[in-house]
Amino acid sequence: MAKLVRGLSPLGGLMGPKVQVLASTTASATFLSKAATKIKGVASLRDDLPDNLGPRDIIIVMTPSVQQDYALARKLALENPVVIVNGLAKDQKSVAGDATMAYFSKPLTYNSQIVGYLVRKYPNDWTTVDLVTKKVLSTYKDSEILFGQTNTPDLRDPGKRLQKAVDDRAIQARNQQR
Amino acid sequence: MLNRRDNQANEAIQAAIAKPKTPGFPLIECEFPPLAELNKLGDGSLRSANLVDDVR
Repeated sequence: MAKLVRGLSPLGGLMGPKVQVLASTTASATFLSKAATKIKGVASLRDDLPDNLGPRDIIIVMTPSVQQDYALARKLALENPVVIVNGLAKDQKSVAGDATMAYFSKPLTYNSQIVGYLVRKYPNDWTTVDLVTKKVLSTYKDSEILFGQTNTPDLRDPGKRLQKAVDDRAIQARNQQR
Repeated sequence: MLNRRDNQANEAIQAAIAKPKTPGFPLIECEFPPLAELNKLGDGSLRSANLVDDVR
């Protein structure tokens, strides 16, 4: 998280936008004090926003975990850029499809091993990448991979393509041994 | 030191802030769980309980 803050605001707000990190409304005081040792000015979504935030300043919402967190993030995005990082316990109402998935990286497994990744680096398309061959197995637009009106990708097709790639390699290896 | 994934995430977020999918509505999301979270968290151990706060 600290690296993300530095990346978005390399001069700490002296020039360019400031970054305000907000933790979940459920974050404990212990967690907040630990986080404050690594991220300056971290607060909770329970608290009021600092007065000195300008319209271009960026708010990072760190691991929202209840519906109230997601609702507050959506409300804040009406005034400032809001970046939700690693949302937990998401349901269909948590992050709607009008949000932008900027960066997504999820390992996909088959037979208990990681065999590839579903990756998205905005504004590029979603991409299924084979871990062994590094080949792109499939790409998707938002409309092709997001569930309904949500911002959550359907992992089934990427998973099937990776499974097929693994099976095809296994069959080829077996044939070569004969 | 920022690694390649961090740089890519930064670039993607900045691109999304500059031009979000829904014009004028910069609600951005990103997901990249740290590798430690792929192991079982919340298994009841003290190590796991401490790790929950650290991986955030």
